[in-house]
Amino acid sequence: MKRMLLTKKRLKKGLKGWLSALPFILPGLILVSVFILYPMIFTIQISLSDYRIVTGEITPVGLLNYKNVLFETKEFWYAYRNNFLYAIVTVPLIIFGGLIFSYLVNNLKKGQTFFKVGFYLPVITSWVIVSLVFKYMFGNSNTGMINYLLVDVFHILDDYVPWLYRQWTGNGAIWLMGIWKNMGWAMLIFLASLQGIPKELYESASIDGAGIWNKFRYITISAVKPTIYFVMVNMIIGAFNVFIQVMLLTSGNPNGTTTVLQYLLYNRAFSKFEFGEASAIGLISAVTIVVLTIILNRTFLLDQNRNGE
Amino acid sequence: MKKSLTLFALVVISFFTFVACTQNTELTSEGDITITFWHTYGDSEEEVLLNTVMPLWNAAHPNITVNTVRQDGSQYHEMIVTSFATGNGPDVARIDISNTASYANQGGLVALNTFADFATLSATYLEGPLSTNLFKGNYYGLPLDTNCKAAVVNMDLLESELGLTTIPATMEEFITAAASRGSYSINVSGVGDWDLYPYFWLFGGVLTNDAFTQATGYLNSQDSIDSINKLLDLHTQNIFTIRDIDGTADAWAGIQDTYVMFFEGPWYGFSDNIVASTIPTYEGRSASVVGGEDIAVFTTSEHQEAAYEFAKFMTSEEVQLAMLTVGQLPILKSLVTNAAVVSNPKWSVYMQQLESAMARIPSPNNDEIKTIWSNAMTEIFLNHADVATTLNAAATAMDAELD
Amino acid sequence: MMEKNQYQKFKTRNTFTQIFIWSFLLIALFIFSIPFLIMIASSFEEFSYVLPYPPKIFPTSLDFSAYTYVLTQHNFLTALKNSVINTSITVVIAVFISSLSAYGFSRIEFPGREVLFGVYLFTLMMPGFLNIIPQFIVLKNITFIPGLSHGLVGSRLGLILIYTATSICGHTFFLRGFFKSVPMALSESVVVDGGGHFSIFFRIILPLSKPAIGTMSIFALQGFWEEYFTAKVLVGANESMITLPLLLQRLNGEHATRWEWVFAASILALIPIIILFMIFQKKLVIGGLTQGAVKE
Repeated sequence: MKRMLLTKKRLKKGLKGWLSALPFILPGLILVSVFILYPMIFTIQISLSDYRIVTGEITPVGLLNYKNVLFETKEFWYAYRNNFLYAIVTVPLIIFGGLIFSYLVNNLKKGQTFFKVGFYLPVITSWVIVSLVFKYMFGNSNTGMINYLLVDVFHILDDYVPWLYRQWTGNGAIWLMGIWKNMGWAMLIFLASLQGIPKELYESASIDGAGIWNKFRYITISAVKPTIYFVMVNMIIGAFNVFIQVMLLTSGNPNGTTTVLQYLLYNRAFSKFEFGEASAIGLISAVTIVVLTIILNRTFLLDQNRNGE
Repeated sequence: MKKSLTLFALVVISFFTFVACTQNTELTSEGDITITFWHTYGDSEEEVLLNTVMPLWNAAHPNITVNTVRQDGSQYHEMIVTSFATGNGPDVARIDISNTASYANQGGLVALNTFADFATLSATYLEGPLSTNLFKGNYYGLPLDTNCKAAVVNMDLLESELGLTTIPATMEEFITAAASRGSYSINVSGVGDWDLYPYFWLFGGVLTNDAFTQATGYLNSQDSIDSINKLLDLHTQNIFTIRDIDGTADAWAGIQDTYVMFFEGPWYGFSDNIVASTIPTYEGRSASVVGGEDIAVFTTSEHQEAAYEFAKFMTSEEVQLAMLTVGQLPILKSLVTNAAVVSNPKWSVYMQQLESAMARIPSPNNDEIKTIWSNAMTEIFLNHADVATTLNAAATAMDAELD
Repeated sequence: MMEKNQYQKFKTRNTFTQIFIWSFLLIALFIFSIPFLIMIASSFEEFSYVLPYPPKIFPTSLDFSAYTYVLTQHNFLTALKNSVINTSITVVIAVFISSLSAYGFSRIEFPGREVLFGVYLFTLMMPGFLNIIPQFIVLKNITFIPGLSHGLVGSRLGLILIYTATSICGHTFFLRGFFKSVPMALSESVVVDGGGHFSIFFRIILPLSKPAIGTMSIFALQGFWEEYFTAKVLVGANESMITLPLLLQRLNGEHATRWEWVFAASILALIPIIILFMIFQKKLVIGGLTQGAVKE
């Protein structure tokens, strides 16, 4: 009898909660369900089927698409590797650069806005524009800015380098562009975080006799740690979503050695009519990101717990 | 609470009103049809299309309006594939001949031979271009324009660098003259089928059997191996460069001051100094690759008859002659001996070259085959892989795509 | 208090450090801006399909022909207009709906809240390319608005809906942390006065979260402004709806790119967003940004 009353009470409370929440979450929920969740479920379904795009026929084929993607060609593994490499190379550099520049700018008496806007410019420029400029900079023979400087002006190299047609220089150009474009964003976020550290903390530490290095280490870095985590997670998700640079700079060449998951997906679907395989790639990508985020979460929280934050 | 609710309602209402006002409503009167035509014509071609061709259409078919939409060429194929998936394609479109079979295979194109007048109509078309529309016994488009690659030669450089005052008739002559130069004389953009096939065929290579059903025994035959080795040779001798592999300047730029010859279609902007010529023969034969476009009707179209009318219109003599002025070679039998074609120095070169030009492999798996070829060539030219082994692997891979 | 000498020393060292930092940053900024300098310099040249040689960082001539060409292209102004309209409307609607959503997820208890939020988070991990097809099909089937034959395909409303929908999960995630950090005491005081959730939302939460919402709006604005792929699929066939990213990509050809047009157009496309950013960057959140976002 008592138990029945309790559940009834809980139901009532739950219903009340939903009624209060509905006006707030409903518009978002409708849009998300229709335009995001439904397509996502559709994609999952397609990844397990053979999808004929004109007729719309969907024939379930089990894990065939996954098998094809993972085992039939080398392309997938190049793409997977390249995404990881992209993350490993660009994320630390973005964070490191962002930290240094934000620290410097933070210590400026005048001109903070000037540098803020200046370093943020790459961030607000569209990927398409930036890719075109980089394509021009890394161009072949003496018409590429970098070649011109290295060979004709500074005589550092003898021959022109076909930057975008080789695996590692191509990847390098893609990484460089990623770092260049995102560092301003990291800098701005770190700056906001640094400016949130109350001056009193530094002052009381000085009174306690702490030197510059200790102040930096125990106040600045600890305060910035959650920001580092935030930037890192965002950049890693970005690393797995790389697309436009690869499409415009190298198109995955040579022989798919600079391709990335998104580009592979795009190619499989919109060039080769293989929507099922493309969906499989999408899902593998999503699962990887989720796993990575969970691992990072655990590592960071463990870190924070250990330091008694 | 009341205030917020009213505010909310106001926002919603004004939103929908705003939206309704910004939509372009389509006005249609009785019997009027509007169809969409997608194309990838360049600037000069589009000008002729809009200023010369469309007025002719509007005069002849006042009740069918055609919206011409220019798409950018680099993602055109992907756009069409997307339109198949979303069902939002054009009614009629200009498509590359190498894609017709794969689009038909997906069920995206209408079989035009079901129309009553097709038989008589098709008799007026040149065999080669017409056959690019054939797939499993049906014709899924009409030929729209054809082209091939011919040699583009810089006459000044030919003389100053190679010591030749006229374009040599044989490739052997050209190679001998170029060998002593020391720097690249011939440039090709990449290792794709469109780029390398002319050279591959010129030097004796073979892709498949006549029926296009088997590559093993042809792509990996000794002739083919020899052909690729010849190219590698020319590359080592600094005569022949591949832009994408060597990182050298693009042909269009380099022909002005570095290269003596490259192969290109009739759309290139020739000048007094940079002229078109048939490709010099090797072992007595010339070779080139056939390109071109077809015009096809999409199955998602709601006005297939009107679309077919437009397609037919684009293949009519008047239109073909108009588009000829901007480099679109005609596909009508009747125009082969036409004065306008024959008397033009550029067109006559290309028409002549067409005689020795071969088609790429017609297959619904065209995209895969292209990739197999370029991957193999990249392995050979960039990574110095063994020619015979690579060609063997490529042939087997192609066979899988050819059944 | 410091003695006069010590104070002088302190002041000079400080100025010296300032100059040092300034110079370092200035050099870094210069190197960083080289791509932009190249763009600007090249836009003032006349190329004619051939890449300029030698490549330039500083303009050697001031030839505005590229700019006049781009501006008189009949669809540049259309693209500009469309980009501005689409972006502004989408930002307003998206931010509004996302704020509501974030409030619901942070300050109202309802069963399944965490699960639903988890679902929102999961959608952020999934690449969005393939979503376009089902999204398209849904749009195509919304035919109850009069005057449209293809449903919402190729229309401004369709594009806005998709952009908004795609941004909701990320924005909800971002704002939820902030909203959570507002002390419960404040909302309780509103309840005591007889107000409900809407009052709390409009009177307490929104005003307090202005910096966060401002920041988020800027990031959102930038994202919508440069979006290429969805726009291409949804309105690519409708010339009157063309947006700037689409136009820019079209200027880029295989052999025959007129680089000076591409760069001139790119710079013109950049100016509105730079101006907007300069206006709003002062209002960017100071502090409290990440504590909120990270604490679940």
